[in-house]
Amino acid sequence: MNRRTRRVPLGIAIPAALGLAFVVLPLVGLVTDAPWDTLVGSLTNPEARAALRLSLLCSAGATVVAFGLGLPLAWVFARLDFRGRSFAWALVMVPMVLPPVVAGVGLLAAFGRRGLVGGFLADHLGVYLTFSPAGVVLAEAFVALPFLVVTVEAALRAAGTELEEAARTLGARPWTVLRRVTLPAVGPALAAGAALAWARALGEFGATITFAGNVSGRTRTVPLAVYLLLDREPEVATALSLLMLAVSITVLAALRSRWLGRAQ
Amino acid sequence: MRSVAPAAPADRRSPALVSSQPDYCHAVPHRPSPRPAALWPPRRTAVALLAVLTIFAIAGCAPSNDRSRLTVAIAASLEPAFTVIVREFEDAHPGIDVTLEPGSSTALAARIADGAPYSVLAGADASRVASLGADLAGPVTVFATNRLAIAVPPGNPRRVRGLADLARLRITALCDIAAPCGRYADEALTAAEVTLPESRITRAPDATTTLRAVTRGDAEAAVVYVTDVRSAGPAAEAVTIPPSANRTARYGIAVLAGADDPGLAREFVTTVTDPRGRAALTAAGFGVPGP
Amino acid sequence: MSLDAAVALRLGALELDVALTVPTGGALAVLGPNGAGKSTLLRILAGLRSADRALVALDGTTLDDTERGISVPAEARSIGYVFPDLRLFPHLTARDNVAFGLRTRGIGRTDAARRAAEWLERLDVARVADRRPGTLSGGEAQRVALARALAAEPALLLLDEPLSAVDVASRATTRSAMRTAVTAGPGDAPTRLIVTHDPVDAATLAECIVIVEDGRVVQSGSLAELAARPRSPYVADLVGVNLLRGTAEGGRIRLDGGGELAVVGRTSGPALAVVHPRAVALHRMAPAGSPRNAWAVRITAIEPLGDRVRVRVSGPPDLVAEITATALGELALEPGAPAWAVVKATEVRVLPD
Repeated sequence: MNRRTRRVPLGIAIPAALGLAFVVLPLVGLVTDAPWDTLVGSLTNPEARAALRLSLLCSAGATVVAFGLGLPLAWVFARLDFRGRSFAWALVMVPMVLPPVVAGVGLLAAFGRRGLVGGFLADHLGVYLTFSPAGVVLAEAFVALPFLVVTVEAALRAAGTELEEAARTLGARPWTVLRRVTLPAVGPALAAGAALAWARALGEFGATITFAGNVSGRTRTVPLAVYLLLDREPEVATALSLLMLAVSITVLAALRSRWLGRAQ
Repeated sequence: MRSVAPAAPADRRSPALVSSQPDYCHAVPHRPSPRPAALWPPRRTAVALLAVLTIFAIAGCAPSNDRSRLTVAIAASLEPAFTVIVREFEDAHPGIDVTLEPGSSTALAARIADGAPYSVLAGADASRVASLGADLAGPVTVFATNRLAIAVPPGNPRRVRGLADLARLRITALCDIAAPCGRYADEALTAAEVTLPESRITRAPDATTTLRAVTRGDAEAAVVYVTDVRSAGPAAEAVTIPPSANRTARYGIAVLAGADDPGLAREFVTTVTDPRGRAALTAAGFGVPGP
Repeated sequence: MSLDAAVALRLGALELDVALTVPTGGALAVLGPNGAGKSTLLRILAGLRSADRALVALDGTTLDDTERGISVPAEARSIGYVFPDLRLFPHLTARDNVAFGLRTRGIGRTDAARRAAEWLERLDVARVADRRPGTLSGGEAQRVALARALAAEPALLLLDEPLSAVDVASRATTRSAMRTAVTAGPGDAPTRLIVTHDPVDAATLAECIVIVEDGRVVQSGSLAELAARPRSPYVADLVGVNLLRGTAEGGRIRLDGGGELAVVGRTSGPALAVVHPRAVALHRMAPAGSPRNAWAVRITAIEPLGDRVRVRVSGPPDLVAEITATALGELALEPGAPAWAVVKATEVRVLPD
């Protein structure tokens, strides 16, 4: 059926339109609210620039961490069968449903100065994770990881082991199979998972502020900067939010057309 | 034509071969059975989800009643003292519900300017309150004073004796410069000739949240009001800031133009400034101006 | 030197128990109905699946020996496998697919690409070298899959339904291309094991055919030998004859499925009766003259076969008759209609079971 002439049932069209409006209206509100005349000044504000740079770097770092840990996790869940797998899966999904501030409290308990691992790091290695960019990456990676695992696991499962078997008959050892057959086959899913994880990391607030604090230039990502700027300079806050919006939309749209456009 | 007899290689372990009558065979799947999409069967998930949502909806809906309401916006530091005052006020005025709305004075002022329906504002900077101008429905009364103190974890592990020691700490928590306590803290540091690099400061919008960086987090010190440290109880210790560097915050209270019942609001203000209110404030550590 | 395999496995309702030998460089076809365990056998030989009991040796190298706990993993075996669904890597070009088995063995990129191109040439699909599998036709993809398996110069080539992806029109050409390709490479031709359900594939690609039914070998030999002496209804159907089982006694065979067959000869005891479809005559009415083998039957299916027609009837006994199209018209037969089937006693070949 020609896409353009296809008739959409009202039962689908109306909720879909409402859904779109629901999501778009706040964005429209932001844009109309924006102080367009002072926009450039707002964005060249050193606080704003520092926050942007920090946000981009930390979210990228968090995505890398989520990828490095999430891909093996996804492989284990997709390819292996072991007792307690459902339970382990539920645990990995927890950061998705946990209120971010609670996640931050948990991170403090584990990696804070008085925490299980954090105490060891501080006492024996002089390494402090709280109030540091590393802490930001940690908090963001924590909340972003499940998104990557879910996406990649589903793709690995759907891809099945057929191609991997073929590769084995051609003499490929497990690492080669992974590198040259499995991962390329789920390439689009990897990109989608990374994009989701990155977007989640970029917008993270509660866990970051609780665990990494609000230190200018070191942990004050854009969401945290906006939080303070709302009281200090509301115009800069709006401008910064708009810029974040623009960056996110650009990256996600570009990814969608290039990598995610193909059906998985 | 070579023919391969179905005979085993000369080996005792080879199986015997017979012709057999074919019978029904199952197809053999090679893939492991897929994990179910939901942890529970879909139906149970839907019911559980519905139950949770219903609970939230019910909990969220406050029972409606037609008692009179009074919303009082207060600087965060005032919350413990005003909780006591509110209880006394409600006892004296049955049928009246008073709600406290704590926050940073700056944020509250901004919300009032935007039209938030508060009846009374009690802020940490009387002049800031006064600057609300048209949003006020009466004079601003200075009803309490507060001074800054350094809050440290119990036992003072980093041996902080004064503002100068903050320079050697890893992280100090300060209020944001938009809030009165943040402005006062910066002024105090300047007066004490202490410079802290921004990379060692974590900021929060109000004093209560700032203190939390010490009581629940890894910050090694916070500059907040003495009343905040006192209300934190055993969770924090206070280190005195000498008067030479310290700043006095003057709290102002006023009835707002947006009050539904200005008369009731004025009565509340009176309660704050009368002996009962003063007693509650003093108990919390505030200073009160002379009668 | 040869491939010697003895494999036993219980998988659900299937009990696979097969032993076979293929001389080096030779080709053996495994023929059987669906679910007989043919693909499972191949997977075990490839090392993709373990068996309950297995003893597999290729040219003197032990690949599997369950009693001594030896099982060489698939990637370490010198095998080539063509899957029924081909499984070409979708993200690689045809050339890179073919070169895959060479690259895994450490051969350099340029060298592997060159040899891959040679193989594509041998299978007459050099023109698709730079295309992705998704853009290839069934026949082209099949040839690429075969090239991929052959390029690594395996000692053992396993083909699972090698012509399944090819449309009927191209089957003949693809089949002959495969025949030449396997012996066309630089080294010696690999030992070949072909799994198929098509007897023509089996006959053209292999010298020996092994029939596997229900996990067990039922018969083996050349196609001619199978046709001469089918040992099961499946084989009989395969080679196109009627096969009936029963007990013979004094000129008659009491059929297992019911009914009786008058025959010539003195065989007694369990027997197989082979009747060629052309020996089965069909009549609308009960034939006059009471021939000894006449049954009232019902037509179940009619299949045209050029100018002749195959008619399946159910009795008992169930038979396949082959008559001319003209005769079909004259008899005005259609599925469900009643008829009479007649077989001359002299046309029945009796074999002891």
